[in-house]
Amino acid sequence: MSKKKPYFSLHEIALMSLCGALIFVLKVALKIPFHLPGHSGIFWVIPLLIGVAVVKKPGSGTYVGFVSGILAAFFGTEVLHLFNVFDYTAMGITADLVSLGFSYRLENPVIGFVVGATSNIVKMVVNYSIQLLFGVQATFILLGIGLASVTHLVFGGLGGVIAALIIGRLARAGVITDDEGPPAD
Amino acid sequence: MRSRGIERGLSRRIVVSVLILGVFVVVAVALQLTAESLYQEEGGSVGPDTPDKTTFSWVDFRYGPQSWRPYNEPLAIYSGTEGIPEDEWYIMFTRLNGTPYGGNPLLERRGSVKVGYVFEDLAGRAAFHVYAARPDEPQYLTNRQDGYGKNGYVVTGGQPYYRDVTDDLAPITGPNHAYITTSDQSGIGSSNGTYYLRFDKGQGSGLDALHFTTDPAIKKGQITETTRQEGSFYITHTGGSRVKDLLLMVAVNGTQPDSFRLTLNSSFVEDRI
Repeated sequence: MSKKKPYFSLHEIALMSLCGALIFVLKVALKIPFHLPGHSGIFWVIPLLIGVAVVKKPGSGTYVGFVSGILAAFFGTEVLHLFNVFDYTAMGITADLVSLGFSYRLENPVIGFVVGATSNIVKMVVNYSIQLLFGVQATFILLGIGLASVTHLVFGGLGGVIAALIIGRLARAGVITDDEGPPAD
Repeated sequence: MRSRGIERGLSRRIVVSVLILGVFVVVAVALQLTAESLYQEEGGSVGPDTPDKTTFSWVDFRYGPQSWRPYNEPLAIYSGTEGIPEDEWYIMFTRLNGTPYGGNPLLERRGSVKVGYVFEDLAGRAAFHVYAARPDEPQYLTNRQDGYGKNGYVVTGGQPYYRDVTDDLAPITGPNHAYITTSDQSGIGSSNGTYYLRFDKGQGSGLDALHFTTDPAIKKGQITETTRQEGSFYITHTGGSRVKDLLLMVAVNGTQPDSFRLTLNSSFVEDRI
């Protein structure tokens, strides 16, 4: 009787979990006083895209985003505390959908820019939506949304470009391959 | 041939997605510019820029009695103490003209806001504190009154303070999410400024950008306690970022007589090079 193959193999789950944890670590450990909203996107987009590029399956980005969101929620390191799980998961879903739309060609810097920028912007939108639900006056959000959108796009895009360059190098070095490799479980 | 078709399809998708991102950013910037122009025209729920009322009486104190002021955790009102729960303070807010700036002189004029005050028949003690909004997110800053870099301004009045019944006052909701309205608009039907003081960045954050000082050259300021019923102080700013919506909080530790008056005037004073 053939055993039903799990959707994600054990090594893929381990890799995605590590990428999710790395997003959280980068957010917490790297504090750069740019005073610009979304500037941390230049860092955390990298492990997100690497996780998606290595696994190359729908749901990989969602898993990575969810893990980082769970960590951010339970450690309470950000403004929304428990509700941060939603914006991190949303960014992961976005990375999934956009990467799928581009056939996982994440070694292309332009595609990396688009995926990173879109993920960062969606995270911003979900974050603001939750703040609105909490009763923050829409005026305060609108008064900063223009600048925030630009900076989220720029920093997320830059992170995506960096991730694409890394992914390209890893692919040329043979670390990332298209075949599934030896079964881990 | 097939791979060329795939590449062409990919290029088309890149162009479409870049266009979508561009449209989103343009719409967001347009929304911000529209909100800014509405904010300045109507005053909206946030209020116009300059106060038109500069003399205040006891009825302008809208909040209290309470022993704390808004911040991430409740802050004591009388600088120099760690917060005495038995203290009962009554609080009002007013906008100030101008905002201080202590950052890059190539970006903006550096200077402080000078506040002149005149008390009449002040009973007990009055403490001044300052709040201002960060420019790019809905978070606030205030002055530090304890520890290294503490600063503040306290005036002791000539009248003995006394307690009276104050049924129509209530404490500020908060401490780290506080809706307040200012008392500086006069006239029937005028809407006072409403502000949402938010402090979500953690304990210790947002306390070292704004300062009270009697000498604008000493930007980090000091704690001043005086019995002078008439005088002035400066509100300075340090750090690279800007601030906006400068609010002065005035707290008195007792109910005031009908003859009580506080006159305030404020203006931006450019730094001397």
